[in-house]
Amino acid sequence: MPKSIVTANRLSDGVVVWLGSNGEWTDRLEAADALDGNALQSALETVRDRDRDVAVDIRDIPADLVEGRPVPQARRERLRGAGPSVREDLAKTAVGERWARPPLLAPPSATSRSPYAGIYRYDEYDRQFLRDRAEQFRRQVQRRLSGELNEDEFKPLRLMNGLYLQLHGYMLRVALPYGVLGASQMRQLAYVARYYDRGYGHFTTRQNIQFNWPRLTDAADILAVLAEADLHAIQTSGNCVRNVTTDHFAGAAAEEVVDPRLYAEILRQWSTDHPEFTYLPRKFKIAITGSPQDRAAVRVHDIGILAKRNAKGEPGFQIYAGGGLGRTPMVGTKVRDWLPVRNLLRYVEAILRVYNTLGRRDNIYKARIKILVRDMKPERFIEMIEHEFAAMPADSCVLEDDVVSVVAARFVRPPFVPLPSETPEFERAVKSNRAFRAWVRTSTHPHREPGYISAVISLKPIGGIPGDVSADEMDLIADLADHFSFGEIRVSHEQNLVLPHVRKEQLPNLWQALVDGGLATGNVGLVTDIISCPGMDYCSLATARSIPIAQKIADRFADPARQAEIGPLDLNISGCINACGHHHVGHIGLLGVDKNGEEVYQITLGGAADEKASIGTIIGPSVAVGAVPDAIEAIVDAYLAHRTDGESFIDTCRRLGTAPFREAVYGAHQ
Amino acid sequence: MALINNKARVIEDGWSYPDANGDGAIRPKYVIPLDVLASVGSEIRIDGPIGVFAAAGVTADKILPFLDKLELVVVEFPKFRDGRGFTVARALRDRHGFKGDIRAIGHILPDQLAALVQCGFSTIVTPPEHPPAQWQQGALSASRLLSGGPLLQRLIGRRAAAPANEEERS
Repeated sequence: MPKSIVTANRLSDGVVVWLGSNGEWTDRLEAADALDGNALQSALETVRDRDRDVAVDIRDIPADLVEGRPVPQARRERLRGAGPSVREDLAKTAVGERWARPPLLAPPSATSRSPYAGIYRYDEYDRQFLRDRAEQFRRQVQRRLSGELNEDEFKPLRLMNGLYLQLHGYMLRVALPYGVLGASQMRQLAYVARYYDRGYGHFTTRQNIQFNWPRLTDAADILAVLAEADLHAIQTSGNCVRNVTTDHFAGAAAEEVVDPRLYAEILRQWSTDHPEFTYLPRKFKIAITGSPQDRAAVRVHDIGILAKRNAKGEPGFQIYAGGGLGRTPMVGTKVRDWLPVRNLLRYVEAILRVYNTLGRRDNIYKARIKILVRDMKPERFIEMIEHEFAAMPADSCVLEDDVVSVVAARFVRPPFVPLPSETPEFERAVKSNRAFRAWVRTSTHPHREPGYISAVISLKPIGGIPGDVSADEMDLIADLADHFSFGEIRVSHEQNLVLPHVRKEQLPNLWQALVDGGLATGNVGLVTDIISCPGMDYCSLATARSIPIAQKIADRFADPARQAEIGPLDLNISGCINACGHHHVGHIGLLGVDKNGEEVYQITLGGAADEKASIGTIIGPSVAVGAVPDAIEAIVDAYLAHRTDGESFIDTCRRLGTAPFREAVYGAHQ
Repeated sequence: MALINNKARVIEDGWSYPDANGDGAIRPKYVIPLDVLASVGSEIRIDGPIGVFAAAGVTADKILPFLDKLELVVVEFPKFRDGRGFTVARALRDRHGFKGDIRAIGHILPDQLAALVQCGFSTIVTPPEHPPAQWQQGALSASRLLSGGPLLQRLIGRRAAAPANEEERS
């Protein structure tokens, strides 16, 4: 007779609990009571009623008894019991010892500012708004704990503040608007990681940061701490306009036409707490770039914006809509070829109004705007937006020049010094030091200011967890940003960090400091610079563990010379169909799914997120987890065998299609 | 179910609403379901104020033919997560200049007061599980959040511009 145990997450701190034989919750899986039949039903009924304001997501899960101890049958449930398989070190800490005990040190915001960083500067109103939001959330948490709000009602409110309930507990996603932050803000994040979490954070593909272990009872305190550094978690979840993302070299890249950060900030402020668009059919993602090289994946967003200049040199926008990944990946439709700056918000508002009115609300898998665009047909959709746009009152939401300049004036321009474009010391270091040369080749980008360069800090060390950073590393990066980059830092959607404004002459020193700190992995843009979602090690939606597979692949290609020989290659991994790892737009994409309790991976080829955006093609049957590194190697070897001189992986894919790669992976088995 | 105004003060409700079957004779101060109103046509004549019930999913353009005769539009929220009603109110106020009373009814939360008011709602039928006292708590924080906000919102504003929004109904 199969038995079951009853499990939940504790409301107050999110800790995974099981129902013990005394009818009380315990955080020790071995103490869970194995039940069946009527006893199980009656226990469930009792706790669902009694503990509705104590435990969340109460349910029974099948378990086997192994040597008298309950072992959940589902892998996900075993992971909930054991903790993330990629962080076995964490399991050694008892639940009671997870969090720092008060009194805590004062947060860095008390003393640390980054006055030169080219970030948007808050005034006291902005700051007070965030403090008020933190206090509002504090009251909402109290109302939840007291039972005034039930979990169904509270959930969207906590999600509006970035607080999820994940596999092991709560997860707080903090917004890093368009991926720009100052060194002092990075220190504040390190402080949160150290004192309210478990010493690390995870940078995401939306240029945000996630903390995996906060307590509900600390959440308002965390938001208050973040507010002091002009940081917040507003709208990092929920069916609203999410963090607007952009090019991580924005405002620095030599080839850029328009600095998109100004418009990203305007969109951020416009969308914050938007009264009309906070309960949309589904989440809504906007990306903007001002460079001809699309590093922001704008064509796979709900709205994608390309900032350009017309013949007169005036800035304006080309608008895409209805792109997206997830279950139904689509490249967006161009809905407007040219939109003057003054109409940006009006036009975006028109799109959202059509979506809010007509987007499906009966099926969350069909609720994104891409489905609406597809079902209505793009021509009809464009007609409706234009109709809505034309009908707006003439004075509503107009971005007049003076408004734009007031916002623009809030961006500090870092005090660049005039430098010669010749940088002999830098050139000498490149020539004489092979390791430095290799790092420079992958990890830098030309800067618009003579004598400056942008440097990428890879968060993909071989054997590491893509996007994860410890609190100590955050502090080190903040110090390096202060020393080398006017205190300014960027987050890339590839889950790396950027010091955008480094003097070329100082680049060797920066590199040496990164080497000393273990942060000089020179693999940016190469096969081991893998985008990966957190997968089943953390996420309650995941069907596979994407991090371990990313680690195995990185291990296989660890040799820097081999990576350099292969050249640019985007490898993206998602642990479920929701595609947080952007596998559809990886040159090689991997999607992990569960097949009768086994993890298997579907392989796609030919995806791209850049200006030639395309959705990858599935090359054949899913591959068993253990066979994935071999399959990737076979694909890469096929590329090396077929490429013409100087041809990149994606170009070979485009030229040859999937056939030679399919043969390389499956040939022997078919 | 108590009626409150945009400051969360309880006010008297002189209107009657369609019952679960949606029927009821057309009479003054009765909120007429839109489809009933539509079947009568825009030539409707009633001796007294007319209100309409816009069930979830009804769009503003469907109410338009009757707008100049209406004193009240009641917008239904089937679930507080269903935000279509915000766009209905916004369209009536901003685009069509409706000056009458726009009332929210259904499953809505005190936490949504600020958004409702900004979109042009002037009164709210509070659901039984969230009585007026909870909304008054919410009103305090809403007024704080509305008075400040990010720079851009202070510069260009975005509250639905209508007299009904500025004045307080009693």
